[in-house]
Amino acid sequence: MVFSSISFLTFFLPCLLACYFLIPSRFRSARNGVLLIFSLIFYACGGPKFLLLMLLSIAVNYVCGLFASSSYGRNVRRTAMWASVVIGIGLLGYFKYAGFFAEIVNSLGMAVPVPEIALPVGISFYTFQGLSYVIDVYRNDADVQKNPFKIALYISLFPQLVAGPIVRYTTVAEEISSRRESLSEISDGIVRFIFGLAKKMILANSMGEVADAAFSQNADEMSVAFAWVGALAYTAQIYFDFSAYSDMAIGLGKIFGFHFLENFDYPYISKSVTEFWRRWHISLSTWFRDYIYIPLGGSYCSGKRQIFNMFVVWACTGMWHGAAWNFIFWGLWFFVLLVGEKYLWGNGLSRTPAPVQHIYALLAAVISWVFFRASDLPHAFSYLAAMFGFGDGLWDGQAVYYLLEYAPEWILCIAASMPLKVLLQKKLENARDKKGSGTAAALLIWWPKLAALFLLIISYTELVTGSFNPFIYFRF
Amino acid sequence: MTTITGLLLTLAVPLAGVIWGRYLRVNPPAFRSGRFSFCTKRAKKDEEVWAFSNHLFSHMIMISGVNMGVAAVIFYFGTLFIAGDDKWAAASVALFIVQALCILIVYRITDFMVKKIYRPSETEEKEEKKTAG
Repeated sequence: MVFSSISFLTFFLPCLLACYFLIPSRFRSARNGVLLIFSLIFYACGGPKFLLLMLLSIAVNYVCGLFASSSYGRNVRRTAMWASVVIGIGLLGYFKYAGFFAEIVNSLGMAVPVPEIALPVGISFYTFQGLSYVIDVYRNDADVQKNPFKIALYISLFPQLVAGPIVRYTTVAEEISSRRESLSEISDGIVRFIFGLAKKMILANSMGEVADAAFSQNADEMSVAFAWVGALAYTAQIYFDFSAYSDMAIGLGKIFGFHFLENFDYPYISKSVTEFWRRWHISLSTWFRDYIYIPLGGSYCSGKRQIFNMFVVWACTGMWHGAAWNFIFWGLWFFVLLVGEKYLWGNGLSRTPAPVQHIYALLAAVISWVFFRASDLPHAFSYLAAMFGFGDGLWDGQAVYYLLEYAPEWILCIAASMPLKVLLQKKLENARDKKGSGTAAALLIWWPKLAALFLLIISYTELVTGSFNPFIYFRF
Repeated sequence: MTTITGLLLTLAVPLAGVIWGRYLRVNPPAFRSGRFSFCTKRAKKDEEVWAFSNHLFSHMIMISGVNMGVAAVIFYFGTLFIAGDDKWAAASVALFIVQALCILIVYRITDFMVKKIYRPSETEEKEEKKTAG
């Protein structure tokens, strides 16, 4: 089940809201129980057989968390932590990478049967959440949770279960036990959810159509302009698709009294790749920073060791996204750029005019998304070749068609990639505070709600008339 | 038609360079302002340096624009005649990228020349290194 589906919006969510809010707020455990049951149902809708796998993951992390707490000896704690890591990564490896590794072995001349294993939805996300809990308990960064239902709720909480953001246990530990749902928070949550829904339905899906048209075509027959149009469309699609899901997750969390951290901060206005990764999928990059990069030595070691640490992190980031060479190449592309920025051209880049820095960062992102979207590595390279003139001509009718036909969506995408909303909010706040403007005060309260209402109507129309279009990050 | 598009692409950066330089020459930007001004940290030091660096940059960018334009036309038609029709798209994109990099190099050279002419004092140089570090 996806958030942007009729069944979720008209059946699942209303049922959950009714069951949840009919229980008085003083019965926190009962409310948590409702949330847990609905989260498990939500997950089971995506594949009932994988529910067992998630329950196994919950059980492992719960038990390992208990033994990793400070009440046990050093060896027991360490063994529990490593057991959680090995089992978690082992399950992830089996379900996600078994086929990929079998193919690698076969390419070396051996004959290993390639297993065809269906990928459980959201396994990468809930595995990382579970690991972060046990490691935090082991490091004494989080208190151990002795109530298994609370751990189950933390790992299976449906808003962020299948496509992130990766929520740390410390972020929601307090709120699982004691939180307050208020009308203003619920209202903010609904607005945030609708903004996310609109991003997905209006922007991401439209750009997806353009990207699909471009990437399904033979790269040798593409003009430079159309190849760029396709790559830019996918650049917009992946951002609006994924940030839409994060917005919806954060919004749903707010409705139920949880405060998840932001996952995106206008990444396409970055001036460098380093900055881009501070703004893109923040929960994943901080996870890798805290649990891989820093334990390996981080930046407090020799230059060679730092480069090695970065290599490990970016190879893992690539692998996390998918079991294919193009994802690994995608990770290594960022590794090269980040090492280059750190040791070679970072200083020079910061001295160039701001537009040049923006173009550089955006170009790096666009090229990276080609690796991400292409069906395999040869396709990615032939597509890149088409972008740089080795296809068929510079300009053709298709490029013009997809630019003009989707002109409103392109304009909206450019506008929504920039922090215009934040600027407007600040201007209104200034007008309210300094000039005492009543209109600004009213607008500040009402414009998000009115905009959300308008967007909800459009999104619903798109939802009813459009075809099924799942989120990109579901497959990770 | 497609050949004209290729030619336009190869001439886009040189033309932009000439227009930019001409614009700065006709409308010298006010101190530390102006949308298309040469606005480096060094140029912003004082009004004299600002006026000089913007004047120098406008001159440099116009000259390089004209040179790049001439070189682009020669290179472009050379590619068409020597390498044939199937290479011209790649050649124009490559040329476009090289020209864009040339503009950046002109920007850096201007900054370097300003530094040579208005040599910073030792303390300023130390501070500059500190901030760069």
